Amino acid sequence: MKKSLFLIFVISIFVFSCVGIPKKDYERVSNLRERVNKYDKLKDYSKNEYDKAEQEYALAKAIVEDETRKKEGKEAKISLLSAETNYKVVVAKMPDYATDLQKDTDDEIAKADSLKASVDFAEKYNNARAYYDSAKASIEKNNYDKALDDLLLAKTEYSEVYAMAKDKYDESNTLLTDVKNKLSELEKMQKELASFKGK
Amino acid sequence: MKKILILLVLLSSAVFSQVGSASTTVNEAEGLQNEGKYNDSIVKSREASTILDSELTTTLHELMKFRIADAKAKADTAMANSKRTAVENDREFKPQVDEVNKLYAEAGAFNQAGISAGADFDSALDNYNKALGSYNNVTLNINKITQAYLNRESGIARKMIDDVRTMHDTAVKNGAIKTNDDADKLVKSNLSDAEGALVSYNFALVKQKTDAATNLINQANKTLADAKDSAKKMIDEVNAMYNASVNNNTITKGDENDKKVSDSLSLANQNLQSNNITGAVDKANEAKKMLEQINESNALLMAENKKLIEDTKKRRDDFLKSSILIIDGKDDRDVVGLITQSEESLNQNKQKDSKEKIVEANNRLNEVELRRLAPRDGDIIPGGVDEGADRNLASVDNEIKGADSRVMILPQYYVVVRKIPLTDALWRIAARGYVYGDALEWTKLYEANRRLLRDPRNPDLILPGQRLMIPSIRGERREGTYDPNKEYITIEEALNGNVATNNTVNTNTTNTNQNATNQAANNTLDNPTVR
Repeated sequence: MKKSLFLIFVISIFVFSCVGIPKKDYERVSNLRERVNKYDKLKDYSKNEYDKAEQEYALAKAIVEDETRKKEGKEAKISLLSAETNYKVVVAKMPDYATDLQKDTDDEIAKADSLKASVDFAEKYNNARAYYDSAKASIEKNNYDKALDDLLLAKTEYSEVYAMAKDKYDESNTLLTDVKNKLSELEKMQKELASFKGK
Repeated sequence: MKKILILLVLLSSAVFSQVGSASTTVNEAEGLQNEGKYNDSIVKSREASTILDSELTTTLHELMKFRIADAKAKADTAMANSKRTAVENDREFKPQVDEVNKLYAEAGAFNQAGISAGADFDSALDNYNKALGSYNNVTLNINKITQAYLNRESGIARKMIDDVRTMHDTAVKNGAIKTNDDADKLVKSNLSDAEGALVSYNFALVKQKTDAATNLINQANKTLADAKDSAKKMIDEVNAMYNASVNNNTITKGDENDKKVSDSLSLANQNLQSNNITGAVDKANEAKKMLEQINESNALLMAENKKLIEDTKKRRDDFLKSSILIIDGKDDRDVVGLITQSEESLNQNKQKDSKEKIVEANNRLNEVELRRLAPRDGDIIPGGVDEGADRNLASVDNEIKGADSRVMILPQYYVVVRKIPLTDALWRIAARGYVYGDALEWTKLYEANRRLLRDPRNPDLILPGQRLMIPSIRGERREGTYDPNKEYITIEEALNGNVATNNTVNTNTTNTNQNATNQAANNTLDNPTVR
């Protein structure tokens, strides 16, 4: 993969050595960048490449957005291509990210299930389930962008349904503990009262 | 009673049914929670809580009624116990008791506030707990105060008892109280009662009993002091008697009588010092009796000597009348001189000297008489017993006789005869060899035959025909009545072992051993032995 990309890069250098501001490249790489940056944690899977890509992009951006630097189109293109290459390395990490994200989501599911969140918060729980199932289907289809989107949504939903269930559980448990204490207290008092009356 | 029981059961059932309902609801809430139905669980819990709050409040009021009644009862008991002592009026403890009383009042107020709190569980509980705490503190504090008071009072009572014990021990040591006498028993009984009262904290009784014991001891001490004063007074009186006797020569310093009286007086004083009052009085009485006897004997001797002097003067007069004695002749002068010396000694209360002189005077007269008179002494007037014993040897009879035919056993009786000029007199009889060989022993004859005399106070008044007993004074054997027709051995010869001696002591003699012999030998008229 890397070898192919490198070859393309070299050829591109020759082919585009004489172009102006590479607006299309810029647009393309920008989109790619946006795609990468859409998933906050994706860059962590290829940090060096990401940093490099950002660096190159920044260089290219500076040239592209500066009218006075029209003559540096070649440099911009090179940077863009470099950035693109590196961004693509990052994008290639989407499956890994999706795997980890799925694992995280599974954890959230487990937490939500531990509190039986599906009972009192069925709708939200089912929503989360739908996102999760959709993500799984996308992964099977290697559609990692969608998979990641759905997984993120699923994780969030599950996390929120868990939080909601937790709050309710806490409230319920606090009340239950309280009434249990009261009951215990009442029973103790009545036992003592009975002993007084028995004297 | 039955109706009340049924009501109680119904009430209990109602209560317990409420509780049962709450318990069921709690269980339901828990079940719902376990199923994840938190909202439903919350509703159930709230439902149960409402029931329980109501029940808790009701039960709280009822339970606190009992708890507080219980705590109040304990506080009341503790306060009643303290009232049985005098602690609340005690200056040291009154402020603390007042604080406890305030606490008690506060407890009541808190209790009332708890009751008034009604449905406000927290307020009711808070006030009830304050009431409980206050009552408990009342009990704790009043018990502490009471114990401190009792400890203090016990210490004081303990000291009272110990002080009285010390007083008692001192009184016993001093002899004011004798072990197990009535006073001792009473004191011990009072102290025992005081100890018992101390154990039960009855301090008034402790004081009562210790005061009673103290009074008894003080009384005993006073009695001892009075007895001591009385004994001292008595000893002083006897001392005065003794000094008077010494001063008037009735007692001679250093002689046996002086020693005896002085010893008794000394012992009397020693006994007095050691608080042996009985012993002191006994010894003083002993000394007094001795002095009285000495004085009495001295008075007898003085009377005897006076009589002797009078008789001798009369005898001199008779001799002068019958020319046996020539007035102012040598014999007469000797006799007069002796009579004068005898009188002087008599006036100085020196009875022994007086007696010696008057006997000497009589002996001089005897010599004169013997020299001058043709008829011998011994003529008996009709009616008297012819003695003639001194020179007439009687015929031998069945009595024990020695080789020289004298009777070997001394006579026990003598019949008085009238003789002229020297008629029988106790002192003449005593002087005879077969009697005592010593005129000064006439007192023995007098004491043995006093009851026979017409006047027991007058030893001179013996009458012819009277049968006098001759008591054995030195262990000599005596039997039978003196026979003037016989000759007897002398008492000295009898005692020197020539004949069997009689060891039986006549009741009028002081002793039968050698001491009696020595005593008789030492017996002089001015120092008569006090029996």
